[in-house]
Amino acid sequence: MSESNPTVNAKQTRTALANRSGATKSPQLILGIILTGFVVAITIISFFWTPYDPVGIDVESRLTPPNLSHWFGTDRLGRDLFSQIMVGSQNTLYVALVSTGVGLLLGTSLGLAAAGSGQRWGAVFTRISDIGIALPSILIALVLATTLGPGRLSVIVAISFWFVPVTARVVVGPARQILALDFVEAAMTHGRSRLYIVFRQVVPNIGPIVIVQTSMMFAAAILIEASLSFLGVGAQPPTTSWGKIMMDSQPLVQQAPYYSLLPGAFIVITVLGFNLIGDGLAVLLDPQQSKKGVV
Amino acid sequence: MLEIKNFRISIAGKTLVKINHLAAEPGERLGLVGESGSGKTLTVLSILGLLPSMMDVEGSIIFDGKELVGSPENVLAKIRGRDIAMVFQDPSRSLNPTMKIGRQVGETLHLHTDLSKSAIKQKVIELMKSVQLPDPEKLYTRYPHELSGGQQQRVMIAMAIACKPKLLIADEPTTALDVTVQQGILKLILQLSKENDMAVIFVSHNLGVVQAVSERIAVMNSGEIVEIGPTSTILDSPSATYTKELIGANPSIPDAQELNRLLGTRFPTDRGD
Amino acid sequence: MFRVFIKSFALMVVSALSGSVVIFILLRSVGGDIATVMLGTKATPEALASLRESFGLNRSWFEQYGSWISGVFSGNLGEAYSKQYVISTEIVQRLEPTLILTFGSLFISIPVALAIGVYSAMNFQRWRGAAVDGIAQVGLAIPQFFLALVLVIVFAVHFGWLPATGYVSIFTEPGTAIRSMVLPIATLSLGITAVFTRFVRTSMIEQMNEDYMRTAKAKGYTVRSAAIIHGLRNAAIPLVTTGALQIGALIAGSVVVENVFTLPGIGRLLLTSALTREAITVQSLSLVILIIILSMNLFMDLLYGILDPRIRHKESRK
Repeated sequence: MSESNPTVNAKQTRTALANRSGATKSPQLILGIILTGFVVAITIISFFWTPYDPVGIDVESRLTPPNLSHWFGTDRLGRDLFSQIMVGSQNTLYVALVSTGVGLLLGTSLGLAAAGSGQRWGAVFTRISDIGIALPSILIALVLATTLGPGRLSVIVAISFWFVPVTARVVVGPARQILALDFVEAAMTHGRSRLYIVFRQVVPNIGPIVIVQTSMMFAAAILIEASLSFLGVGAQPPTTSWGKIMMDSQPLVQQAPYYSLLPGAFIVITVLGFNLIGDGLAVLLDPQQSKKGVV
Repeated sequence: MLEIKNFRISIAGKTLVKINHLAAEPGERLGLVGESGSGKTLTVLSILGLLPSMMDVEGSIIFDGKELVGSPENVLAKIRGRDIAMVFQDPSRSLNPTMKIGRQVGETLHLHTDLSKSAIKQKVIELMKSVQLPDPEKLYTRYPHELSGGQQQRVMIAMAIACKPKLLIADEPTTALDVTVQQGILKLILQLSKENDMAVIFVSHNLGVVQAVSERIAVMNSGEIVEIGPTSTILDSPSATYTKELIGANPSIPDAQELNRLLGTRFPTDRGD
Repeated sequence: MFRVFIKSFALMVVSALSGSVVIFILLRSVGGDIATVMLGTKATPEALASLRESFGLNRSWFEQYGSWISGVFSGNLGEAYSKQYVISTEIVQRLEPTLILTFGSLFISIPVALAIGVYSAMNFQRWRGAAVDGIAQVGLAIPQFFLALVLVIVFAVHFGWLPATGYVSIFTEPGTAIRSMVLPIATLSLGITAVFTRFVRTSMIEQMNEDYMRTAKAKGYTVRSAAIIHGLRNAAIPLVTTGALQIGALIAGSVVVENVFTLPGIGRLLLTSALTREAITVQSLSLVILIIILSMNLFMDLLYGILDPRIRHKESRK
């Protein structure tokens, strides 16, 4: 191989030039924060106040379309839909928070362990995580619902069950790359323990990737929880959730389309918000990486 | 045949390349030498209009009486590959990894001629023979990754000369190759230039390589041409300070003698050697 | 090429078996004992014991797994606990709508995503391209069930063009069958197309910066022809390799879609049997779903081998 390669790879130059203007600002991040901020604010407020009592039956106003007093309209029993959404967000965000947290903690630990171990364990890890990734959360949730019964716990376990291998896989690649760097080897020969290296070198460097991943996973958790609740496998009454509201709306789709459309739009906005944060962060933290697309 | 006048490339107001005058005659072999960042690649890319869109170009590049700067894409597209062809530095990346070699070589024929598919295939095999690729029939259906670096570059050259262009621009064609392979490629380019009366602009940071192929050499530094003249003059009695530094710093100049001996040339100055 | 297939297929079988073990263990280890769930906590120990025995739940895990897996291979899984149906025949019957739905959506979404993604990439500096990307971005955030309901509201309720529910076998009445599958397939493919489109766009933009594209332009191709003739295939490769990760989402979506449109498929049975605690059915259905997922991954692997000649040669050289 020729000893010199003075000219920069032309592709790198072009890509760097193309990225220059994009990396300076991230409208996605701003929009994402606005949307999620809105939803989180509503959730917090819901602990203290909602426009109406979410379970307050008011047969007089059953199935009224959205108006000034009932922003999202009312359901079959005259209960205010917007209040239901507000309270429902407590459950949804709780589930998303817990499953993302578990997935992150266990997944990152697993990924780091796999990155630090040798060839054999690495291969074992890949095979096992392959299976974990192949089993969608909804499937696991339904399996758990068979014996554990439907409910929030099944949902959280099912979502975490999938998040762990996904996070581990995202972490393992970059972690391995960092551990293979020369200065890390040097640190090891100087007698630094593996754990120390992991925390001082690896974690800060995979930090950005993990943060982006977290945002995406949070969004995914919301989607999965909503779907499971929609199927009737999620949080059981009296706990309400967005999915359950949608489930109730389905038989009334002809008479009261707003019942499905408005809560649904709300879900979309929330998920979009978290996705945008993930996207925006990806662009900011690592302009080159963002071109590749995260899971 | 080719004339660059009052030419400037800039980006966001900052000037990258400034050339007052540079010309090439038909069939002439012109070398363009300078370190990385000197602007030589940008200059030759702009001849074909292949600069990134964020760069601004002023001035004039006249080829065969036609003004290339500011020319619309469809006009340039007809010139590219047919009248002016280009060979790039890294053949492994410059070839499409998922397309068969034969098809890639035949593309310019497909684009610029009316030849039938079978006629094109015939021509491609001939071309591959003329660049001394072994077993052209077999290679026709192979993919780039199955070839060595030297073979890939020969494929690139075959692609470039397919429509018998008047000008071949070679941008660091041997830099990514092994030293032993480099000589073969240089010899090939020299031979093709002579046989087809094809002008060559040979760009490289390596003066030793450039002088083996070129009749005239232009030396570039920081976007400007600091010196231009016949190869022998440049090497024996350079006037610009930068040129002297370049010669002094370039380790392969002593090898130049060896190179010339192997290629059977000595500062080629006239055709018909 | 053939060797690639064999290797992938063998891997698939191993994954399916390992997955079956995971599913089996999940069902047995978590939660309550099925007999108690069915009879209630007030039931007598004898009643519980006899129910367990009739379901074969008193055997060791090895025995249970063994008889289940051999049942899968022999096609005899016994009856549901409720005795309402024979498990294997029920599953086989339900394969048709599910396979049409899932594979149909996959086959539609790939070319559509390629087309839209390339368009978006070619226009990435203009608002057209960004707008398409924005739409895809929103598309990602839409839960399948919501999309289904919206489509039902628009096409079934409002316009009345397509049915909201109901299914007829494609072998009996192809016309009606197709009509009833339009909305379900549209729902499922829109979702996955949004994901794929963004992916193709990113991939295509990357390809446009590659050296071989510069070569193509230098030969006289316009940017558009260069993109399609040279770039498309190379851009499709990462789509196929990481698109495989989306298969799980596709299948998850199909479960939801089947339930919204009440299609008599695997997903629907999965839900009902989970809620009625039919453990063997759930187990077997999960395995079937896993196999569908793995087959799709296999399909993607093969596609990868077809698209990228470098892989074919790597395999055969071993």
